[in-house]
Amino acid sequence: MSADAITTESHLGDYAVVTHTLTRRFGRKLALDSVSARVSVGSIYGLMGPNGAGKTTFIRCLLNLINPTSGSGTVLGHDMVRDSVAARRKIGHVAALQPLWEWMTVRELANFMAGCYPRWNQDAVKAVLSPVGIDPNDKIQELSRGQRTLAALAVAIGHQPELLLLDEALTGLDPISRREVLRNVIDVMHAENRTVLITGQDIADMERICDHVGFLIKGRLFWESTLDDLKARVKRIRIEHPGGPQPQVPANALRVERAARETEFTVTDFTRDLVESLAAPGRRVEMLDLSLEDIFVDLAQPQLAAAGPAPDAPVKVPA
Amino acid sequence: MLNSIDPKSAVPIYLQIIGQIRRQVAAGVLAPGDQLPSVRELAAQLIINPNTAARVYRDLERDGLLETRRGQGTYISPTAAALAESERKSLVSERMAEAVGEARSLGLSDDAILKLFRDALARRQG
Amino acid sequence: MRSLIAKEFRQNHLLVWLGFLMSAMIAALYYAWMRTHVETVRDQRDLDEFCGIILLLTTGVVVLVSTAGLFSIETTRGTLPFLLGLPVSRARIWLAKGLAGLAIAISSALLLIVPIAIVLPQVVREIHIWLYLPDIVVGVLLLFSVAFFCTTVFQRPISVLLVTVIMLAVVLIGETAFLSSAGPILGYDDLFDATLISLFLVPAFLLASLFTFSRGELLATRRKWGLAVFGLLALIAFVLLAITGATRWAYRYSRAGVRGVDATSFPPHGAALQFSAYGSPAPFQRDAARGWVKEEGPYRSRHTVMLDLKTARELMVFPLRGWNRQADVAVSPDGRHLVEKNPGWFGMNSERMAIWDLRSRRRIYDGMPARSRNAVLGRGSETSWSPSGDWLVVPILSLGAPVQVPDRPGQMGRPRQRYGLLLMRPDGSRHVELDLWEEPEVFSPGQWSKDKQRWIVGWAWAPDGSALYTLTGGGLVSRVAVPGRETEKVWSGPAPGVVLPAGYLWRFSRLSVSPDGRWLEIPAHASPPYRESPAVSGDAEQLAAPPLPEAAIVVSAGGSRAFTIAARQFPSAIWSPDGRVLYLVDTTDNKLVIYCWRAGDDKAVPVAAPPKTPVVKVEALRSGSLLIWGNDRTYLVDEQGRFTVPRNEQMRSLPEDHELIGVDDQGRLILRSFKPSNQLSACDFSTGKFAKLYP
Repeated sequence: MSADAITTESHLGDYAVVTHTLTRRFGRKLALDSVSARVSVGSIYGLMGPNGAGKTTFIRCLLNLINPTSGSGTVLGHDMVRDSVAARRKIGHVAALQPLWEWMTVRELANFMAGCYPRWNQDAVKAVLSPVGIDPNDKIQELSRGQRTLAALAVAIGHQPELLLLDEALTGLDPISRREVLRNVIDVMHAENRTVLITGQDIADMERICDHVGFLIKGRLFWESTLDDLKARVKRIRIEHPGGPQPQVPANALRVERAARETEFTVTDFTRDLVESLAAPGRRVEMLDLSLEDIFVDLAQPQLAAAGPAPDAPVKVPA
Repeated sequence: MLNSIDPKSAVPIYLQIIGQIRRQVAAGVLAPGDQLPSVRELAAQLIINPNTAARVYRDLERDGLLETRRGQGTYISPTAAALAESERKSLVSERMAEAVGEARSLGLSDDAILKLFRDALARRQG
Repeated sequence: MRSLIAKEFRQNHLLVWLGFLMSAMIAALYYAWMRTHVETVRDQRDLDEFCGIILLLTTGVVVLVSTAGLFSIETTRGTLPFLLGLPVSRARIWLAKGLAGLAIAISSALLLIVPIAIVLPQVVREIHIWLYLPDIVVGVLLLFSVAFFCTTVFQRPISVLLVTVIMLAVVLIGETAFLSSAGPILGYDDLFDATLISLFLVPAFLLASLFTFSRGELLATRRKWGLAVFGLLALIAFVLLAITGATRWAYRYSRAGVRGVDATSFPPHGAALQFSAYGSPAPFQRDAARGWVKEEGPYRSRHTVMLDLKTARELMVFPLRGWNRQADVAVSPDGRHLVEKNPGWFGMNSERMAIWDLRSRRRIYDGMPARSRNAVLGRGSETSWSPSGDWLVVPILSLGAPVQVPDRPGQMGRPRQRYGLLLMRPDGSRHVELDLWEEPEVFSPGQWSKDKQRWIVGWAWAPDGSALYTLTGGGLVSRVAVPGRETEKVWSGPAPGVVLPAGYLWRFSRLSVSPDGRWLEIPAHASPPYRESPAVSGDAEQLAAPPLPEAAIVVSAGGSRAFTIAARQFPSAIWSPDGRVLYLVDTTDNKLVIYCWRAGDDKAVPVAAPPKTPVVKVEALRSGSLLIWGNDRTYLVDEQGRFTVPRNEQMRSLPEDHELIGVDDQGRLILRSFKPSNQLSACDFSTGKFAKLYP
């Protein structure tokens, strides 16, 4: 890592979620391909990827809704498969458009959940519901989509989970509901040892709140690092070379764009030395920062284009 | 109050917030003794990672702009005033350095640059 | 866990009221139908019975519908991942749904049955609900468990219902096929075992359901589990059935659990007794006199027992075959063989005869002689076994061209096969055919009744088994040496000393031989010849005519002497064991008429018996007296023809608590007691001593 690297300290050195070569097949389709992820305690981890990348499958494996074909994992210190009931006592889970029992009122749902968990904090639930005006006596079928997600979030955090899983929970929500969800998620983080794993494609929102990111494409986790490291390492280089020869582009450059007097490309291992090495008389070398969305697109393109498994080895940057 | 941040910007979020707070201190909007929102409140208001908010305050405290009084919250420190002055100057000189760099890369001479500065001053007089 | 069960109840509470709704509907339909269609008591009974069946079917439907949606609804609505994400093990979730589902199914069924039982008790009576309660409970449990299994495997409630119905049909067909084919081998013989099998299947299905749910995941992969699990299920069922079958097979040779006996078959001079023993009480019709059992109502475990009367030991236990529970059974006089005849389906010529060797307990003959007809075992005095037990007599249709028999003179008539007799060894190895028709086969109109006189109508064995006496309708007694076929005519009627009106003929129907072989007893009655005119013989005409002559005839075995010992014929002729006394008994219409003949006398003496005496049975005792078994007391008739009442009070009142099966070759009365619970005992009438025989 370069001198400018903005390193995020890992808070406790512990991991809330660790998976070892987690693989899951559905028939011939490989939904998860040897995923070895690590989610630090106290972080907000954003797992990004296009549709069908395997994000939901990953979350389902963590909850032991489905069994891995091979590989293993631990969640909050409990084995994912063998000890999953104990793990689920400390996990809250909100999935996109998760159907709930329509005939229940919000209060009934909360009471039902309260009966299933060892501890329950009804005030925490109210704190989520009242700012948006959800009455506990409302039936779930009367709630709007955003209200449903918030209700699901409310009952998910009622038992003060150490790990909160949000699976595309922001998809299709109106801006107010989305803000509320994020606000509540951040509020959860206030207590000690809370971790959030959020998956989805709302990269802008994830950019705000995530401090760790993972990129999942075609079941393969090909990047995992802190957000700061990601932004520090993935930069776009622009070389203006009027009248000069075309510069040599590094071998691992992405999205190389060449024009007559200008060449741009993205690198994943940016250092100051790189800029200096590219400098030459008559050239102007510039470094451009990329937004998370741009980074994701640049990194994902080659993965998507590849017919089989990713050609590059996954990049893991220790936090 | 703090403006909303731009997550897409090249500048990391925490630096944006630090910059805003510094600017406000320099402009006198935030005076020594003013209380700032807690880390939790800051994160909730801006919808950012609480770690980021914590980092903002940690860095500013390291730089002497803030002080945390136990059990009472975070306040602008008395030394901020003194820093304000140098703050102002360093902020502007940063900007100027950027402008100069830009001008030079476009091939302007030093005299042309000075002329531009004087014109800008004259325009802003009124 | 409580949380889960409470949620299940709240989710499905409407289903409980489904039962109540169905009961209201059934009651409404009942009343509507009753008002419009019921006119007679029989209609009412039919309606009650039909309604009872509908009630049972609806109970099944209600149970099915309550259970079908338990898991599949969660899958269809998509709430299953939410449920599985809770910190509750899958087994707990399964258990919560199972308990709640069962409670709901049972409540629904109760809300269906109980209101009907209150409002329409006659319907519930028709289906004998208390009697069938174990079967209903097992049926409900089976329905529930199959539906519960299907709801864990399949995704849509409709598919669940469909597959459940199919699976239940498979289970029922499988059980039936198993019971009917493997049943006789393994000792299964009735539906009680079907209930037992169903009971074993309930935990198999439930375990399979638990296995599927805890190993299966979320969606389509479960189907594979379900199919694999069904194979597992079939294996479990097969193992359970095999175990049950083995237990049952071993059990049939033990008396444990047998609580009583029902029908019995007591061959004359028999040393062994055949009867059916059962495990628990059930209502049924018994016809002890004729030796077969027809059961109505629920079947409980039954098997047929051959009991050696001397040693009171079971010679053999075997199941009664076939769907039709009637089976005629008779034991050979030497106690070595047993013949069992099953009349087959609806009396069509699918009768089968099985002959068992009681010593080796093996079946040595299974089939039916070709062209056999009518009862093999005979009725009344027609014993089929030879006295030595070597031969069995089977009436057959003889070979040869059929003869045309006109019903009325002037008609062409229908072709009929002539009758013959087949003598066969018990193992079917040797047989001798006796075609006793010796006259030319030509029939001419006007002569039909005379020619019919030539047909064999009865036969009896000589006591030493060396010969068979045959009797034609016209009174020709022949003696056929067995196994040779030498035939000699013994006697050819008519009744000596009785004058017949002109044109009348004597008609004969049966004969019996005295135990010492010296005398033949042959009743006869006169019948008018066939009249020429077609418009003939209504009952009025016959009633107006004077009573026709009858005779009870005794013929010496050589045929040299014949006496008409009474001027009427009797349905029963009972010889004393030494052959010195013959009692002629008529107990029709509760009128008791007894005549007593001592060997050598030329006339029988009427016994002065009270005319209105209800008589159940009449048997000869060793002392030579006749025992009359009435409804609640016994009587005796001695050789002198005196009608007395037994001195021993206990012997006098035996019929109050017992049923008389017969008298064995030692002269003991074989009795079946009514209380306690149907036991067999042997009673020496002269001393009054009892010996317990079975169980």
